[in-house]
Amino acid sequence: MSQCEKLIKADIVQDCESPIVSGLEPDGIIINREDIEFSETVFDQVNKNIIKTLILKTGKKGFNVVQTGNTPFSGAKTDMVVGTYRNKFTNEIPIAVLDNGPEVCENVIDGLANGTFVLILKNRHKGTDGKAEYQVYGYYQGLKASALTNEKYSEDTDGGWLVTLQETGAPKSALFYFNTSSATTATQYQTLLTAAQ
Amino acid sequence: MELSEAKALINELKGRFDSPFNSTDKESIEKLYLEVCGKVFIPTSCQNCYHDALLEVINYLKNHKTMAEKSNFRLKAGAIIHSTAFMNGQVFTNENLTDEVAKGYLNKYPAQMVLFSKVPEGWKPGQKEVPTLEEAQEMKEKAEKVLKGALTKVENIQKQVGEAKDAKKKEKAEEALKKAKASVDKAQKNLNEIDEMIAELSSEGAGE
Repeated sequence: MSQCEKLIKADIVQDCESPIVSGLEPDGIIINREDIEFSETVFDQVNKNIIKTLILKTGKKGFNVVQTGNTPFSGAKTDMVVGTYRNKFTNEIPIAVLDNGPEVCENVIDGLANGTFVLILKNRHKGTDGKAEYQVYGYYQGLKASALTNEKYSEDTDGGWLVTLQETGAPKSALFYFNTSSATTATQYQTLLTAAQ
Repeated sequence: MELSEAKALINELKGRFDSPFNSTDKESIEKLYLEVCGKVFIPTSCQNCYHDALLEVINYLKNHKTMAEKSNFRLKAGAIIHSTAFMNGQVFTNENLTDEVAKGYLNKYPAQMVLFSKVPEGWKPGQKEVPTLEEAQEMKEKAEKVLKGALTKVENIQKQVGEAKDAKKKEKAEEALKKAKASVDKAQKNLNEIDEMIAELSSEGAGE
């Protein structure tokens, strides 16, 4: 078992049926990491880079993240970091909060500054059967703010906030969210937005 | 949320309809949408989606005069019911979940209780359902109708037996009579059981 991750298991070729495309869809879901019922997470039995079910604790819900512009979440990336015994991954996701005021600062910005999060974003590249659409960040170590700026004369944010969320030390290159089919996954994804009382 | 509470909240929100809703109002609208329409409100980046949602809630109450029926079971956020071995792999969320579906699923997969944030108090998978007195009385009415029908059938077949002219026809009618009498016995037994249940439920009710 310990050897498995050091081996590749397939040819390195281009997927001609479903060619890769860059970028992310403009919306995603951000979840306070402590609201996740980790013991109930179900991973795909065959592919351990797929989360089939992600359950939240009773009364908890995820929140929409909606970005505007042609390159939503611009700068989102994953880098490998060389370790002493094992290489790990750093995920970095910039989020623009195009708003400022007491409500947004209390409800969003202060939370982003000090909290730990899990983020599910939608790739423009859906992959075969839609398996590559939903990508999960922060599941292992949590995403934390590594930068948070409010530049009054910024032409990009128009005086709003720009936060960079970062997860360091993730053991896997990427985690995807997929359950049975694209339609089922979409339905399940939407249920993350409503708290069950 | 009761209907009167929903109406009061709607009236309160209507008063602020001409200006943008604050985050508390938005939360109230999301809750109203779920409670009244029985659907999950998915906010988008549009400007007026909360206003539209409130209008939808108002129209729902105008047309239906009541709130959407709710299941006594609730799934946690992120949980769905979906198994190829259950109801042909149909997907159930809190929007289309009924008590029957939830009970059927949990009776089949008791370990999946972890997916639920709410189940009726005291309910456990595999537990025998005890009807209310009202339900038992309805059952009795149905059982009486069944018994009456079975008795009528026996009378008719008895006539046929008496009127049968040849042995073959008589034999056939007698066979049918045997089956009809068995149905009467079964219906009578069912009615007796319901009577016992009603007596028990009545004594429990009197004792409270």
